[in-house]
Amino acid sequence: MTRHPARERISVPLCEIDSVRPGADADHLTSAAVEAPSAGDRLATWTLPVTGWAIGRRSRARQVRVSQGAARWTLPVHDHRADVADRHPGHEWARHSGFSGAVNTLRLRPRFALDVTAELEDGAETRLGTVTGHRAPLRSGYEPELQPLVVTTLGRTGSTWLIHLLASHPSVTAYRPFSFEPRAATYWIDILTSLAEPASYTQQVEGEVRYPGPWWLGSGTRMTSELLPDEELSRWLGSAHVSELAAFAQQRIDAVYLRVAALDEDRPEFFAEKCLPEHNVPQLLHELYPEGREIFLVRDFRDMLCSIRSFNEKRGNAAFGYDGPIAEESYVLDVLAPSVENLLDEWRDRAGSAQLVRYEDLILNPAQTLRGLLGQIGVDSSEERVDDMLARAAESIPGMAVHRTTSGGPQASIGRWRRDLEPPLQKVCEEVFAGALAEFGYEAGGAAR
Amino acid sequence: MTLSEISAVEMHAVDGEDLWGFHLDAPEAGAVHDAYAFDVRGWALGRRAKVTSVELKDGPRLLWRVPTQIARKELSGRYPLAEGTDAAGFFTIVNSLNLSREFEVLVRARLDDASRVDLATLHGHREPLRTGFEPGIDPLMVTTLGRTGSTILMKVLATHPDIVACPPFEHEPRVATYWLGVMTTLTDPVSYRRQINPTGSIDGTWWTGKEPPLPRRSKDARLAHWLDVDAVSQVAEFCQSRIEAVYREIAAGAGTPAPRFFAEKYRVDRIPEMMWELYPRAREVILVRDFRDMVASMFAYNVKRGREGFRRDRFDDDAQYVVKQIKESVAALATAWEARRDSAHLIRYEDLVIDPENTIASLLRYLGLDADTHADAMAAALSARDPETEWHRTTPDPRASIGRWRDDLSEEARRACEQVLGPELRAFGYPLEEVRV
Repeated sequence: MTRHPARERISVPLCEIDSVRPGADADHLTSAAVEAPSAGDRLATWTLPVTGWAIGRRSRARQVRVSQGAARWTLPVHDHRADVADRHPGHEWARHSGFSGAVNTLRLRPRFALDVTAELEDGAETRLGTVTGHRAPLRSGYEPELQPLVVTTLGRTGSTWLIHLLASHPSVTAYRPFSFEPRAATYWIDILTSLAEPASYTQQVEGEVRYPGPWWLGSGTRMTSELLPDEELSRWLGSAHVSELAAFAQQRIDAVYLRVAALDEDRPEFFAEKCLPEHNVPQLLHELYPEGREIFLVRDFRDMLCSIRSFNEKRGNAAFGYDGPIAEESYVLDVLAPSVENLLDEWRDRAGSAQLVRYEDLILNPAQTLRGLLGQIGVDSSEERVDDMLARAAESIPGMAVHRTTSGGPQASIGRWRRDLEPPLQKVCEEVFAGALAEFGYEAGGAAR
Repeated sequence: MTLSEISAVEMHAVDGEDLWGFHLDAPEAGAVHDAYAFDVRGWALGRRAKVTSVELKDGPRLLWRVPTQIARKELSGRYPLAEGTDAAGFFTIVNSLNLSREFEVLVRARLDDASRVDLATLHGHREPLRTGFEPGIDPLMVTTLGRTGSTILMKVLATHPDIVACPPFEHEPRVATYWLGVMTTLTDPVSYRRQINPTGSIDGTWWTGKEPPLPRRSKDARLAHWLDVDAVSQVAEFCQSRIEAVYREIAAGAGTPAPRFFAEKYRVDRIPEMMWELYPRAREVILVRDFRDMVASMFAYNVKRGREGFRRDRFDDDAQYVVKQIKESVAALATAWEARRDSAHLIRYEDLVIDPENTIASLLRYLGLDADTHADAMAAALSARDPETEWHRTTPDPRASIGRWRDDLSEEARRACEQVLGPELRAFGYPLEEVRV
């Protein structure tokens, strides 16, 4: 009989608040406050309640945004607050100026700085405060059979080739990278993160069943304390329940890749999978798999831009966030630059445990680069093994040609930006990517060192 | 192993003024699938107006609306005067676990002027879903509509030491419905195939799989079979384990250390059917109330809350609401009772209020629980007054709420009830002469 221990507790604080710095802007707000969280709060869940009030000066506060990068939640300003109204007589918006909700800190980095921003009905935005804190790493009791070999990267960096190369090592499994680009780990971690969102798990207790959509994901943000008056149940749902969801996600990832490995009768130690740095997937994999490995794969971002452009032209569609006929300068500034910045932040967070691979090194010195990489991963990195991998990987396979956008071989793709990018765009790229290029070991002039 | 089978494809006669033509490439009659899923593929070429999408419906429930956007080059030669042959094709995947075991799916074209043309009806069946999960707590489903006394019944049930329910009862706990919703999504090929073949954008809730392009079945037969069969069962098993884990947690908090049942309200949809598949030892109470009193109670509760709930806001007047909304819900409940009357247990709200001891004893016997020890305490809980139940009341005394419709409903609403609810009132043993206005 399947049994689950009830009332299992995680005793350490899962989220701690270091500071709450107010930032209310008197031009836009008559009065406002972030009431929760408070500095020094120690929470037993990965769920962070956010409450407060905001009274606009010239316009009503419509909603409050809680965000860090791509992670963002919206809290409507509509809670009845008689106490605030009493303290602000004559302000008609004070009576319903409260906001409250709860956010899932697993969408955040382990050390986070959350912006709390009021959006007013006249379109103005003003910061109410910044919440800094840290959360415990996500752990589960699951003991994985396979460890992840995560390739954290952006699009058009040679990641498919790298996965293909790694999969030719007997200790690594991957499924037909040039045909499918499997995302089993991303799939299950995204599911885990969604179900760990308080907006979702509170639906079990106060279900707003609405078909045909996935109503159980919930919408908006929900105050768990109102919906879950049983404090112990609330704590369990925001902690042990989440860990158990994580264990299941890991079990499914194992199941998929063990099945893939069984196709070739392999007995691998690692599964290799590409991960975009968004949505915190590589970070959570890092937390759930202390024995896992992570490779940051980068490419001169100017060449990456050229390759994105060529790939989209070749396929006749708009991919990689190149969403329609927007000016390329805007694409660089609004799409690529934040992605590169995010990748850089992730690298800074995990540089101590991850390996950096530059596309250019992989293409120009494949044997040396691969040998060094395998050595760091801790699998057979002998000369014979590397030669065998390169020979096997060089065999032509279906789907490989579709990925190429240069005719003179991969070497010709290095530094292509000098001939492919128009000078004004080169200048924009130089300015936008200068810091990241330098930090990833590229010379300011562009050629890889 | 056949898991889904299309027994017949019934093609509907189509007016030549509406369409140039259509064809269903798949499924064919007699098609068998070793998955809880089947593809639906074909084309439809509008004549009066362009066909913009194809809809798949399970009764009133819309399963899919898929745009026609696949080029069918062969059509331009066959229909030289037709426009839109470059986007007449459609393709989608139906998760048969989202259907009853015996199913009918209507395939219809949606034209640019929002009109619909029925194309075909697929008749089929699927195998029941089985998992390796052995439940330690079995479901006690209370399948009902709104304002039937279900909240007080949940409270009564929760007083039994063998039954756990999630307080507070003014909320609508949906633990099992939640996890079966999760299960239905994650056992849908449009979702799980994306682990291997992540077609489209990887953003937001991409993993629910509803955004095109839809992933095709892997050509690697062993991997496809594992994903379609074993992995589906394993995901379902996990969802069952979560239901049990949540209720064990609730039971621990409620001081009910070893419950035999978890009691939960269910809407009249396909979830109770699926629960029966997954839990052979399940129990189900179909809770009804004179539907005229139910409507009167809904209206009173809306007034008390100061907002139009129960979808009343979607209709102009009470009579329309009864004819369209209430009739559909009541008919669905009667159908559910008819389908499961051999295994389910009927409780009428009136019996619960007027004769609680015997009604509860009968229920406990159905559940296989000791009726002598706890029936009186449960009956006492029925009449207990507390702020939680007080908020739900719309009459001072439950007995006073029986037959309230005679005074509370407008003549139009009473006539509407008379016109459309007669068969269901009769089916549940309510005297029809009461319907006369």
